[in-house]
Amino acid sequence: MFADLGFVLAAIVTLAGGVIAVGARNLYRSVLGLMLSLTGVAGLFLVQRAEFLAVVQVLVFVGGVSVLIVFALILVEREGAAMETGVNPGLVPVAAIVAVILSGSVIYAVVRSPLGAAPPAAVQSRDIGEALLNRYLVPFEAVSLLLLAALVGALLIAREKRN
Amino acid sequence: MLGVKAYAIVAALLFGLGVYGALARRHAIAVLVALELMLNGAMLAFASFSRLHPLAQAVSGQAFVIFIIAVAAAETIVGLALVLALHRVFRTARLDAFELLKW
Repeated sequence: MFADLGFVLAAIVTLAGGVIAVGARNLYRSVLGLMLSLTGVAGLFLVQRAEFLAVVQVLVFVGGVSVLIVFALILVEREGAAMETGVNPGLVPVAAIVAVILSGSVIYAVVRSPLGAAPPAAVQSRDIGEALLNRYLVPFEAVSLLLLAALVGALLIAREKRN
Repeated sequence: MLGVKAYAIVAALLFGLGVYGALARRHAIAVLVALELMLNGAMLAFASFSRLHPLAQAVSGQAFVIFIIAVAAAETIVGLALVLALHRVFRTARLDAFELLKW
């Protein structure tokens, strides 16, 4: 019962934040809506007893990625009118149709499926750590290489070129 | 405890919101924000469906979410760097201003 209430609250926060992130004309509001939505997803992890994921979600997404986006926003746009950008009116029908088809087909398949109730996750941080360093060692190292490459590549792309 | 269905529906709605934003928004940073929403929908689906595994200690779903988080962070870094580089060339980050490939 308590978990159900938590689910409803977190789901509302997630979807409301998503609507703000996509719908707000002001770019700052958009990023703030994204932060709200990411926090809601962390809450959904928590309700399912995936505590480690919730913590990582808050650390990396809410604390890292969102702040990074805000910094890029400060560098790119001035305050005031430049922050106000809406949607491209010509693309709205196409985007809405594609989104409704993708999301609707998944929802239809899920509702029709015989998925039953499931117990909350019984995975502990220790299990995840052991899996990352045993079974998933190669992907783990590949991801660390990817992060290094992204770091160097981002510096290379964003750098001001001087002769 | 609600079943996996409710979580999967929330994940699909979040993904749909992200698809709409990524296709319709006019500013490059707004598109990156929408991409984050899509990735989070996928992550939520992974974490929820992993609960259906017969083994209670099955860790694969959550390990996948960890990898998705890492890849999403890398993708955001590179995307924002590209936005900055484009802004240096075009003096704007609005997507309808980039028309070098149009004829």
